[in-house]
Amino acid sequence: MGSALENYVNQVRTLSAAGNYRELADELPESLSLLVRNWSILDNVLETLDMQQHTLGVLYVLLGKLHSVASANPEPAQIIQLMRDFVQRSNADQLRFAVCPCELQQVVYLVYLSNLPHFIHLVYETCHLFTDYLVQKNLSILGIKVLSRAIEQIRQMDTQLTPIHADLCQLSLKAKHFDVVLPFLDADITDISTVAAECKNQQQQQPQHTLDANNDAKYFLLYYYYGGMIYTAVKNYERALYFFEVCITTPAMAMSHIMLEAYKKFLMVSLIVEGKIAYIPKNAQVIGRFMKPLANHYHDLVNVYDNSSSEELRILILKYSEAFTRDNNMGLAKQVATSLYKRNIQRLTKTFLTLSLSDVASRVQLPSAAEAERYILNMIKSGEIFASINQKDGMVLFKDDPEQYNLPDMFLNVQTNITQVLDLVKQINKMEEEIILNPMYVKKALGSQEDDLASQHPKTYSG
Amino acid sequence: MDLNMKPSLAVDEMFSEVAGYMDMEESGSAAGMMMDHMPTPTNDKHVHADFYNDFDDLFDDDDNWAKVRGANGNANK
Repeated sequence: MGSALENYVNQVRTLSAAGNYRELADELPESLSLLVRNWSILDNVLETLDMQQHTLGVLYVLLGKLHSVASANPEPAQIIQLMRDFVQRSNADQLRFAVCPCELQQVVYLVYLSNLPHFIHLVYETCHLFTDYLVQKNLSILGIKVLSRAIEQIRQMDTQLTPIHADLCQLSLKAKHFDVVLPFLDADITDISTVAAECKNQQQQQPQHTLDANNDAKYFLLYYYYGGMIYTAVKNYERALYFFEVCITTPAMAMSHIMLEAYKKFLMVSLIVEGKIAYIPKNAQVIGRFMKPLANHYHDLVNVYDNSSSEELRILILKYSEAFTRDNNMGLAKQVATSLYKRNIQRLTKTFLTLSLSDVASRVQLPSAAEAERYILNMIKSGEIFASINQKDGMVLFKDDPEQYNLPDMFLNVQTNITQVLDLVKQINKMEEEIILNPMYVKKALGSQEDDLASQHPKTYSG
Repeated sequence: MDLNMKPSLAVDEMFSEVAGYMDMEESGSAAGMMMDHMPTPTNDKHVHADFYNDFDDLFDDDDNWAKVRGANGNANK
């Protein structure tokens, strides 16, 4: 081992043993370039450090390895194992407490972590680099469990969002494996762990704080964009629409390309769910100003969908197929076309009691009676319509919804929904109270009230 | 009147479609608070141009389209 690296190890071991973490945290950032330069012997360094006692030292070595993968070209299995060991064996309490040292009640870790201003930033950065590496090596599926474990250790509650969530979604999308990520997505977020907030708590310098804030915004938007894509892929369109909506209505002064891509998908999923553009809050001004002009094809799609002509929609999708394919939205465009066929069949059920399959095909512009039958059978199966098909004479009998809302199951269902709504109201009240009591909010609210009063009652002078 | 047709439905207009939404512009400085929570850059008009979006088309999972295109004689377009 080179003498510079020996110094690194000695420094980590000595300062850790003495509990002098402030100095260690100040010194280690300067060692990162040294570690990257000496990538070939970093394994020797790791052998001399203990995952629990020298967590910060090990984290920097891991970071050095991930920064040097382009030149070092390490064995992927080794990097994955190292990351897995770090997530599993580093002290879970340390990682979790690092998120918000101010809430610590107990001794050791408070001293340890409140003196580590860069710590959580490093954990997030390590996870981002690890994700990039796996995606590049086409090994995304091997990182899913590692990152889900990291999130479970770091977040303070199930409903807290961390920047690692976006990484987990990215790996899941790349691997087309959604079992692990869906429970994370199903939890409604009530709190966000951001690097900027942590740095603010620990009084970091302003330039770094601004940079971190920008990255926080990026990973927040990515979570909702990727999450919307995952829900779209598993055909939970209502939830997908909500995720895209959160992404595109996030207050912003500039247009994010993440928001633009989310907006395109939002329009298409809106058509599938509601048959029109879903309601967008008026405060999302960035949509009208920046996104609409860049999503013309998608607005044309909305306009043609509104005519209810499947043939016109088909022609338009073919016309714009290059643009849709370039955006990786061609499959979604096909789902939109399918949804219009279904919507038109549903319209028929409101008008007719019986129809022949060939009539159905002709009215909704499907190519054949057989195709109409296939659509109707799928819709009966998924509960979208209530009907029966007489194979003998090729007739469809449309029926009313048989639900009478008088069975115990339905009662239980309604009761569960009421409980969920009441819990949501409680949560909103709690969050509102937190905002109202927030000194920053009070200061702003009072400031704007004073401005309003000043403009409504201008001073008058009599002489 | 066609016996196969159902009587037209009356539209329930009691609840406006947008009644359930809060108008953010009327909600004081709530949006401003969100800005504090999730700050975004103000200097550049367009940001995050380099974000990762290179996924396969995850939504192309049925053959409806191929059948419709083929049946309409546009399969090669």
